[in-house]
Amino acid sequence: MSQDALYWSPRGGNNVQDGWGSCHKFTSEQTNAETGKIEKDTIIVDLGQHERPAMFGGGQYDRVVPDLADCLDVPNCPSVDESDKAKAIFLTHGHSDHISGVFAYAMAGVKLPPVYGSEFTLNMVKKGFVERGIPADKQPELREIKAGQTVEIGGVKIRSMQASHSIPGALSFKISNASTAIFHTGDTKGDESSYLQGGVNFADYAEIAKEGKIDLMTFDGTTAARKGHATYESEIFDCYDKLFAENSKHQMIVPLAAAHCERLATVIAAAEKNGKNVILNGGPSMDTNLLGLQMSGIDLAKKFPHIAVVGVKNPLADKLDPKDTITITTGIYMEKDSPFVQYLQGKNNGFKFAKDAVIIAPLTTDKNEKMAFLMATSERAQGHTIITAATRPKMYGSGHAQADDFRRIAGILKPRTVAPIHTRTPGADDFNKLAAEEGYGTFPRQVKNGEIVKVTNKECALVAQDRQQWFGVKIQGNTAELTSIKDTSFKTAELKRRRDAYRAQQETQKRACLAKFAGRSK
Amino acid sequence: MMWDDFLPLGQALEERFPETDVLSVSDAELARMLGALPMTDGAGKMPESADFFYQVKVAWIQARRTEPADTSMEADL
Ligand SMILES: [Zn+2]
Repeated sequence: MSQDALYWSPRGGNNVQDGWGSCHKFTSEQTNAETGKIEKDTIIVDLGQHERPAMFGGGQYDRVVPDLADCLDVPNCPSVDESDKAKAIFLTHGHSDHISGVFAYAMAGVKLPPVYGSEFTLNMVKKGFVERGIPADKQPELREIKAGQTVEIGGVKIRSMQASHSIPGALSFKISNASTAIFHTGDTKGDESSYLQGGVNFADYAEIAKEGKIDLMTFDGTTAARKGHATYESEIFDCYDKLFAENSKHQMIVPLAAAHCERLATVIAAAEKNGKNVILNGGPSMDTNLLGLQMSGIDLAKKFPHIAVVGVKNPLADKLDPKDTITITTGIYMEKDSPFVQYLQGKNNGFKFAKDAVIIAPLTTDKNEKMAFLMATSERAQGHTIITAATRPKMYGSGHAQADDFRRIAGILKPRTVAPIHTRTPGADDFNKLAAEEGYGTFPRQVKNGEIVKVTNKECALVAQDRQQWFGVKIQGNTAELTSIKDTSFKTAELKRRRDAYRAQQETQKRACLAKFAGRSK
Repeated sequence: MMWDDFLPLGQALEERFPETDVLSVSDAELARMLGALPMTDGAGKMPESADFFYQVKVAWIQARRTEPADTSMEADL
C-alpha cells in the first residue's frame, strides 16, 4: 500500500509567462489488495487553448493547445498504452482557455474519452461543435454533472462543488482515491453573491473538509497574491446602482465582456432597481452566450420581470425611449465583432447612441488600453461623458480569488500543501510566499507545465521535471492538424523585441487616453 | 440534406429571415421557419428536440459573424 499515490501534472495554465490554456492530468496509482497489481486511472481536468497562438512558432499556428500525446492517441504520435490512456475529461467551466482544446483534438480526429461538465459548460461545448462544423461522429460523449455530485472513474472519485467565477456552472473538483485527496479549485473567487444562479456556498467547503484530509489544493493563482478580496458581485451591483441613479436622465451604454454572464446579470439587476429597461446589443458573441443561458434554463427577461430585457432585434427595442434604457454591449476588449466598437470605428450599423448618452465602461487604462484609446479618439464619442473603472474602481471585478479569498477557502479546507494554478511564474512565486506565511506547505517554486508531483497522504514531491510541450494547431475547414512545438519561441530575441514594442505602444496610448479623459471623466 | 448540417441551415435561415431576434424565437416558430426553407424539402422527420433547436440557433447566430468566434475574452479569465 505504500506505493499508493495520486500524481498531478499541470499540462497548461502553469506557464512561465501567462496562465492560458488550462489543463491538468491526474493519475491514481493503487495496489489491488487481492492481485497485488498496480491499478492506474488517469483523468484530465480542463482542456483549454492558449489565447496567444502568435507567441509560438513565429505565429504560424491557428491555435495552440496542450500536448496530451502521452494519454491520448494522436495521429502521427506513438500509440498510448491502454493503462496510460485518459478515461475522462472533466471541465471546470465553459471559457475557451478551459474547453477549446476539446475542439482542436476532435477536429484532428482524436477519439476523446467522455467529457463531464455542468449543464451550462456542456452547452458551451455543444455551441463550439456547431460553430466549427464538427460532425457528430467526431464529438466525444458529453455527460452532465451537477454541483455536489460524485463520479467514479476506476479507482478515482471526482466530487464536484459549485465555484464562483464570471460564468455560471463553474465547478471545483475534489479528486481522490482510497488514500489521497486533491482539491482543484479551477477558476474561482469565493464570492457568495450572484444575480444569476447563486455564488459559492462556504458550507460546501466545510462539508468537503469533513470528508477527510486534503493532501494538496491546487488553487486559482491568477490574482491570489493581491491584497484584499476579489470585488464581489454585490459590490459591483452597488457601484452600477449608484451610477445608474446619478445618470438616470440619460441613455446609458455599458460595454462588458461577451462571456461575462455573471456581470451581465449584475448590471441588469442594478438596471431593474433603477427602473431602467435593458437592450442587449452585444453582437453574435454575446448572443450565443445568452442562448447558452436560455438553454440552461436561465431566461433573463423572466428573471428580471419588472423591466423589459430585450435583444436589439426584438421589435420592442425600437419602442423603448432611449432615455429609459441601458444598452448592454460588448467591446471592453476591443472585440472586432462588437457593434459598439464597430460603431465607434465609423460603421453605420444602427447602434443607437443618443447625443447625451453616457458611457459606463468597466475598463482600466492599463488592461483595456485599446478600447480606452478608441473611446478617447473616436469622433463619435466626442462630447460624451465617459465613466470608467479608473475613477470608479468597484465597477470592475475579476473572476479570480485574491489573498483574503484564499485565506478563507484554505482556512476551511485546511489542505496540507497548496500550489498555484492558472498563473505565470511571478504570480506563482508571490502566491507561494503568501501560502507559506499562512502556514501551508508549499513548493519552493512554481510547479510548471509538464512537471509531475507525487501526492501521498504523507507528502507532496516533485518527481519529474519535463519540458512543457504544446501542440500547434493548423485548421482547415472542420479538420485540424496537430504538430508538436518543441520550443516556445517567446524566449527568442525577436519575440522579446515584439513584446517590448507592443508595451511601448501601450504606454503611449495609455498616456494619450489619460490626457483625453482628464477633462471628461467624472 | 441532413438535419445535423447545422451551419448550412443557419446560413439559409439568416438569408430567408434576416433581422430576426433569434433569442426570442420559440422552438415551434423555428420548426415552422425550418419547414419553410426549400433546402429542407424531402428531408426526413425533423428531430424537434430542445437540443436540436439550440444547435440550429447557434448556427443561425454563427451565420451573422463577420469575425471568428474564438476571441480571447479577458486578460485574466
Ligand atoms: Zn481561466
